[in-house]
Amino acid sequence: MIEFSHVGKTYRSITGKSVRAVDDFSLEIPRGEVFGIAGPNGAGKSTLIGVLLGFLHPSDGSVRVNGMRPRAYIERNGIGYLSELVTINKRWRTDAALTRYAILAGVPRERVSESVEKVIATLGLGEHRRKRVKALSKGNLQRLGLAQALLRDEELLILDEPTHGLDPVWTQRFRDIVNDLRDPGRTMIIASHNLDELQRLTDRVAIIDHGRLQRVVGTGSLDQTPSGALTYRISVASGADHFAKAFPGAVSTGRGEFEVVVADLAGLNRKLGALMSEGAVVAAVVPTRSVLEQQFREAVGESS
Amino acid sequence: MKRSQIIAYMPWQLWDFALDRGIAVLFTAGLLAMSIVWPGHIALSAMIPPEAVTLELLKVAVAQTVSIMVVIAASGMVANDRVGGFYRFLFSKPVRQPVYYGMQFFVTLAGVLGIGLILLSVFWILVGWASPAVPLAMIVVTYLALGGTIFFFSTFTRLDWAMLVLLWGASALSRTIFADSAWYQAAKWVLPPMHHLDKLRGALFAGTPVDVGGVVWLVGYGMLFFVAGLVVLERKAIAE
Repeated sequence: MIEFSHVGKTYRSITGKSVRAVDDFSLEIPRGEVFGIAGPNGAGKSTLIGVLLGFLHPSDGSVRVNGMRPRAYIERNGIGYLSELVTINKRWRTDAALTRYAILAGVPRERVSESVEKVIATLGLGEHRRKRVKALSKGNLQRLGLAQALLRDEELLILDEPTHGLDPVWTQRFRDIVNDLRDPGRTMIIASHNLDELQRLTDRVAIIDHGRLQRVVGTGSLDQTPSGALTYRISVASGADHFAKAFPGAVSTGRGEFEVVVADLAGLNRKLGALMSEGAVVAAVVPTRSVLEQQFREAVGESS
Repeated sequence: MKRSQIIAYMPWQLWDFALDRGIAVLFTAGLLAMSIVWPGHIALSAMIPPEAVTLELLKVAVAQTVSIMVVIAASGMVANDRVGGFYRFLFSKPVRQPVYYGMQFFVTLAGVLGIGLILLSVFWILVGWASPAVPLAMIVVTYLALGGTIFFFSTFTRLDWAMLVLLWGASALSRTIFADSAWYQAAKWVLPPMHHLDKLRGALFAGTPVDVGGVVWLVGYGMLFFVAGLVVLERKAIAE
């Protein structure tokens, strides 16, 4: 569906200064995949999305969407896009803005009202429908941005920081919406700082830093990091004195809590089995970092 | 992108023009015209017949306001969407940028004509009846010439109005100072033929034959920039 081939992007200022925002980026995203993009601030995520939308031309390499140039694909089919910054004319009213976008999206005239009502209901914008954009809170504006991306059943959805500004209830609702949108014919790209969210929603995550693809991580089989290190916090209700035998090198963090480093999930379970067979009662096992977060830190360095 | 889809969006563009620019154009041109027409009406009424007063005042009002109306109306047409980031949602839809902005260009012309009619209505009430044909014709020609040029600049800079003022200013200045020089004789073919606007207005109000070649040059100059603007929109990435 999407193919980045050795894409590079250099920004040049009038004074001749240049910044390499994306460098030799190659990646294929098949149809039907929910794909995540993660990276620290300034890693090149937004530039990459700008290139994918044809809002920026790559300095090197090429991008193809269904074998077409991005603009050609979008001008023919349209896409659902939520930008990191939701920029809508502040004077427009919520329902009018959605009506405009529905018309431009090519929703048939007789179905415009139905489509608008549907997304208003899905995103809970009913009570804000007559409000002007300038009167919307950050969260409601984000929901309006998401609503306009969902006006038509697009084959390609690109969501840049989709839960930015959403409260926990709407963050969960967003996750439900993404899961409902999963379809073999629909490709979704989600760029986010929220690694937990990417791990829950996506099939694979590209970790980028300094404009380069560092690694692509499959979220379905995240049981081992390349360094072979998973860190967990284990609480025991009783039998803490057996801990050191089952987990040599465990660090006590007090009140029956230990931090342990294991190579993989199988090893963790084996050691927990040994601990419990000694009579210890395990109260909780919590990863100190999600596995994706650990992968992310390894890829971009602890300083990021 | 279907034609019906973009045409269905036209009323929204007109509505946006009316609220974003129309009010500013109406008030600026209205106040400017009023500051000329009202004292002129009092002064001229004592000297010349009422029909002549109406025509003279209309001439002056058109000369002083139409260009300003066009510059306010047409500036920032593309640049405002680019700088404001509004292009992101607009052009994630199946919409071609040259078609969208090409349509907006002509919608804006319709809007300026509408404002022209409102101002003329006020003129008819306060001063007296005069045919709207000449003022409206001047709006169309000025818009195509000036608006086309400003549209081109708007595709790559938010200082489109400043670029226009610079270009038209350079044309007027070089025509005044260097009219006889060999340099100007060569340069006049690329500089905007601003003087034809004055000639056209004079001929239309006097009812004398219009210099058709001059008008074609004037409108063609603006339209060439307009088409160049469409090419820029087609070729250049909008966020670059």
